[in-house]
Amino acid sequence: MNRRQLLKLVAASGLGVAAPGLMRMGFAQGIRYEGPYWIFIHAGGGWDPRFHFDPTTNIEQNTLYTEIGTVGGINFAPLPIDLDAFGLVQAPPEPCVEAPPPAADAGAAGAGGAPAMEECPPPPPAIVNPLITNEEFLTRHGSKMLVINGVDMGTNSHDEGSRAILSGATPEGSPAIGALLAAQYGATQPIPFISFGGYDNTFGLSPLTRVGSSGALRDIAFPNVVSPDNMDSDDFHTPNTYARIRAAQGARLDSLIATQHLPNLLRAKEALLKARASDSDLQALQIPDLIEFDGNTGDMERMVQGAQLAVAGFQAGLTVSANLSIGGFDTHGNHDADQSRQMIKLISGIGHILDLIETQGMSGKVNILVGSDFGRTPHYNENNGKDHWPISSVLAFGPNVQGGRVIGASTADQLAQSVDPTTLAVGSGIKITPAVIHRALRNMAGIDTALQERFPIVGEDLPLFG
Amino acid sequence: NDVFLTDRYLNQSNNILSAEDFPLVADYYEGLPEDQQQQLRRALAREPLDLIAYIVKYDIPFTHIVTADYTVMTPQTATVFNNNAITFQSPTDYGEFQTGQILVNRDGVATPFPHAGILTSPMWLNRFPTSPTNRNRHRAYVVLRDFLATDILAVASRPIDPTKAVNLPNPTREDPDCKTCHVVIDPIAGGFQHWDDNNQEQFRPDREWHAEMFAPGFGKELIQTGEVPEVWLGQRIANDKRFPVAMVNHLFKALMGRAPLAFPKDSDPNKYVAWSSEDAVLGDISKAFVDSNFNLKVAIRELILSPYFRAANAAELTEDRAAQLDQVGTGHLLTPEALNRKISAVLGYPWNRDDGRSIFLSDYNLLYGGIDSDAVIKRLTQPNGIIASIAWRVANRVSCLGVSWEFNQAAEARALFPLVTMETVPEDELAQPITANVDAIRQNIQYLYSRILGETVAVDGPEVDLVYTLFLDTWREGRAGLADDTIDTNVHYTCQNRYNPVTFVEHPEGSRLAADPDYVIRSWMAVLTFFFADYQFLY
Repeated sequence: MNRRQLLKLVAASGLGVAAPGLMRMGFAQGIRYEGPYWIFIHAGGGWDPRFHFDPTTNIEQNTLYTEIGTVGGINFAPLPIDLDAFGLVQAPPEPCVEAPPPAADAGAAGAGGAPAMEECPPPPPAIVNPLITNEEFLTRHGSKMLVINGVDMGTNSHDEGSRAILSGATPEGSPAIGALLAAQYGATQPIPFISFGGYDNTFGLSPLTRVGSSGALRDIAFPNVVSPDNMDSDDFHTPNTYARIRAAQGARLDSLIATQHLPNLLRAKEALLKARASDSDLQALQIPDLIEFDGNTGDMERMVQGAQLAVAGFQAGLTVSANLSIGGFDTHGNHDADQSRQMIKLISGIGHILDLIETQGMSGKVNILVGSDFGRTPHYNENNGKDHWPISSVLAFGPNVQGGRVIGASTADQLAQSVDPTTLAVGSGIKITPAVIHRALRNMAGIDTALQERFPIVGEDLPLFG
Repeated sequence: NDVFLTDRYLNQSNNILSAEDFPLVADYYEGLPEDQQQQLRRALAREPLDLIAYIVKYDIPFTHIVTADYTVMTPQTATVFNNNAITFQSPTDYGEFQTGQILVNRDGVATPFPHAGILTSPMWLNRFPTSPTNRNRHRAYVVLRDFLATDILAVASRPIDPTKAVNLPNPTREDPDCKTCHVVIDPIAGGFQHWDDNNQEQFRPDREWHAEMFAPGFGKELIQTGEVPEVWLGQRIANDKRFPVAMVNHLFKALMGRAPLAFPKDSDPNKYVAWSSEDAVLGDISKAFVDSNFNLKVAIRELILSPYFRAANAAELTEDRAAQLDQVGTGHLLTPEALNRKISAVLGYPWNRDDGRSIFLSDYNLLYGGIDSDAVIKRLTQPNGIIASIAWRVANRVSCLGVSWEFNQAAEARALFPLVTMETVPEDELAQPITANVDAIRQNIQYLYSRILGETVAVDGPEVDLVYTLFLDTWREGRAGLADDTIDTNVHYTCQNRYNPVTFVEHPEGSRLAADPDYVIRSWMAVLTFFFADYQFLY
């Protein structure tokens, strides 16, 4: 049975209809990775934990809200959502009166002076608000969420902070945690680590993939098909010819590898061989219709679309981990408006991602970590902004994460408090740093000792994730 | 651009210029037809890169990138930059560059400001912005990184303890943890004191430095009263011994696809040999660069002649020797831009859409590991499954159009198939080889190895055997399919030559190439896909 016959059989069986946006399906040639999966979300620029789950009513640090809310034992900042500012207020429709039939008095103005039209245009589609408040987020997802407050990032540098939150190390030299996981579990997958932003240095541990549009993905998954979004499209070469070309190229590359003695050039050839070994596995990717949000939410939309593509990779068994990113948190001026705007979109976006994971039946399989370069100062500057401050927070979700609780805390002056290494009670003990978090992550994820020792993280061990 | 990332502004350069300083930009831009608007945006965005190109092209000392008291302009950008004193040979040739100064509007008078090469470029200043609290420290970091091969974060990296800093009235000058870095970057930051904190390219000569910060200067030297800070800073950068090192390092990365080796962190003697050998070569190249009065072409030449670029193979190596030669040779996956140029060079025409955009760059740039100079600023240097698939898809698409276009030309006009015709079939009706045709096909394959991969192979050697077998088996499959009507006589509609891929003018009805009655076109398509997907083509 060839591919086209299979596709028609799938469509006839109704399987294609059951998966929205399914265009083509193929067979994975390699071994599928069955999970767990990982998503790392980077809030770029340095967020303000006072605007999510480490709130304060100290007006030196917050002039946006006056009370702290609590849901399920987790405090939250009740950020107001200005729908108009987000472009989410439905404009009233233009008044319109349909003209009477032609035999009657055509062209007469309707009541109120509205022009008479043969047919009034349909009303614009209703705007759907994609945003939720911190309270709504906690109500729906709080039981899944672990909040780690009082995280001492140890830096005010964007580069160092971005690196630290996604690798555990401030200085250069450590791979992103997504790359470590991909190296551990996705050695044979074609796209084991996907990145849409944030620190993603792999140090050669695993291939990194940046994914763009879903249309381009379809083209790439079926390189021999002239128009992959058309089920009846022809191929550039017959299947036998295409197989013959690939075999000839394989023989050629094998020959080049067999005769190459310079290590750098040998590695390059072997990398191409390895990349080709699993490229046809991309045909297993069921590319979804990407979500679209109303209003001025483009960056949130892109983050959630990235999650959709990552989840598609997870479901196809091709991907182990993914980086997502949303920026705009470096609010040196106009902090209240700009920081709260981005925070609302970040939290709402995480909510959409959690919903997506649930509707795709992946709730028991996907872990999520959310963090930022660092925090914001415990005071405003002369431009109503806040500058860099090393004390931050981290949020975590997933089957390996005991949610519905808060670990760690910041002081009233937004300094990091230590925690007891056994009970995690706030008081004395160990400061929670990116190193501590990533040591716990690596252990929780089962990164083997040899890989950990290649890229060691020096720090204490805390039972952060339950 | 990989260093300065100013291509971020290719589509918006006209919007970021201050209307106060450049009052003509909005009206002038709006008055242009769309294609010239695009040219203007590109010219404004690429002003710092065009300055570099100009300096290199005319063998000007490369130190001018930080000391030039001019920039380069096209007739369009000269208008925007308020300079109508420049004489252009052809005022409508928007590819002509002449030197001149950017003038800003001050009380209705076009007024020059001090130039220091790229350091005072509006695009560079915007790409590496400051803020009222940052106070040009980010620019100082970039100056050290890009012009002086110094990563100050690596030099000064240490954990910050905010509990210490809050007890000091001026932590950046008094806290040892903070001072280590700030004593270096703050004086350099002072070199940019005359630029606005918010309107990045706006020149503000009235501004003074912050008294609580380290005084403006460079190293142990302070900027004296009366000196022009940015000009003074540019000269110190150009005179610093790290400047040529930084420039050679940039070129090395561009040509080799990796940064020069860092000093080994462990005591492995082989790693030390690898590092010291490379460092010695780069040191010699830096010296040659300086001795040539900073002629960048000398540095490029020396790098290309070095074993790090030229090495193709070695005899069997011992383990120690392999470790010492670990980084020799390029093995460098071509960037999307370089691969696109290579495709065009091989085909003999740009592989573009009819609107002039590159097909490869518009469809696959980021997926193939490229950058957008904005959110994505680091290239992927290792292939993944997607890159491998893109390579196949591109090879299929290029061969699809390329072969029929070639065979629709006279033999002497062809770039890829000068030695065969549509009648050059390998076997007769009795499946017996036609010797002259087989020879011609093999010779053309040999020619393709040279043309596409730069390899010299024997016409009767295994490399030609491999591809000839591919051609022959594909042709036999096609012949059988044509005979039993399971394969169409015509090539696929997409692969027919219906228009000129250079001018996009459609061929008259009778001049289009659709029929492939002997399956020759499709057999060569298979061959061309093989070559365009080859390691030697992609690397």
